[in-house]
Amino acid sequence: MFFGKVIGNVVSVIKHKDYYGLKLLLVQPVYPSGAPWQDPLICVDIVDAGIGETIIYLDEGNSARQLLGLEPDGPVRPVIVAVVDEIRWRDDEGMLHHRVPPHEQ
Amino acid sequence: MQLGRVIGTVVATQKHEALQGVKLLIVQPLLPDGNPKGRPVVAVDGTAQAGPGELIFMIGGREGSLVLEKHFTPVDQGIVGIVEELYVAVDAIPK
Repeated sequence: MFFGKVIGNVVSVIKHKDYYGLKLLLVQPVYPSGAPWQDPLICVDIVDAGIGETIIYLDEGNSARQLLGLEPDGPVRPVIVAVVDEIRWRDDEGMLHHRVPPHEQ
Repeated sequence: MQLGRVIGTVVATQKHEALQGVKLLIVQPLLPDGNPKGRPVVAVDGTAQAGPGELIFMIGGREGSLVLEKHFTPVDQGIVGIVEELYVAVDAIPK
């Protein structure tokens, strides 16, 4: 699972049948500090996340299919599974950090 | 899943039998701001309705081949949807 920040949403009408009714959000992968880490990606949301929120997403096909109740041939992989309230971590220098990501932009 | 713009089509006569009858499209991967990211790739169309000029989103890896009816096709990018509307909150992008 990875940290990400929701930066937008995607509306699609014509799509693969396994995506019908799913909410798609644009996610910027971030470090625990909130700094960007990789190129943004599109994730399926099952926890009512919103724009500006820090989230945890997973990028693994079998977990995604189980969470969404799809058959073993469902072409879905990135799924948002949690909205983050608070992060505590120790950096490379051994310093303890604490961050409470805001729920708005 | 990544955003991309369909920029062309591919015709191939000699191909793996699992790719018979499959629509191949050339896609330029995009960042959310619309700028291209990396080289164009060839993707299969899981929506059956994507065409040149359209903004789409696609999935890579094993799931790319799962957009097709036939499984275990030799594919690494599959188009799963056509983007109708894209909203990017510029203020929310971390720096």
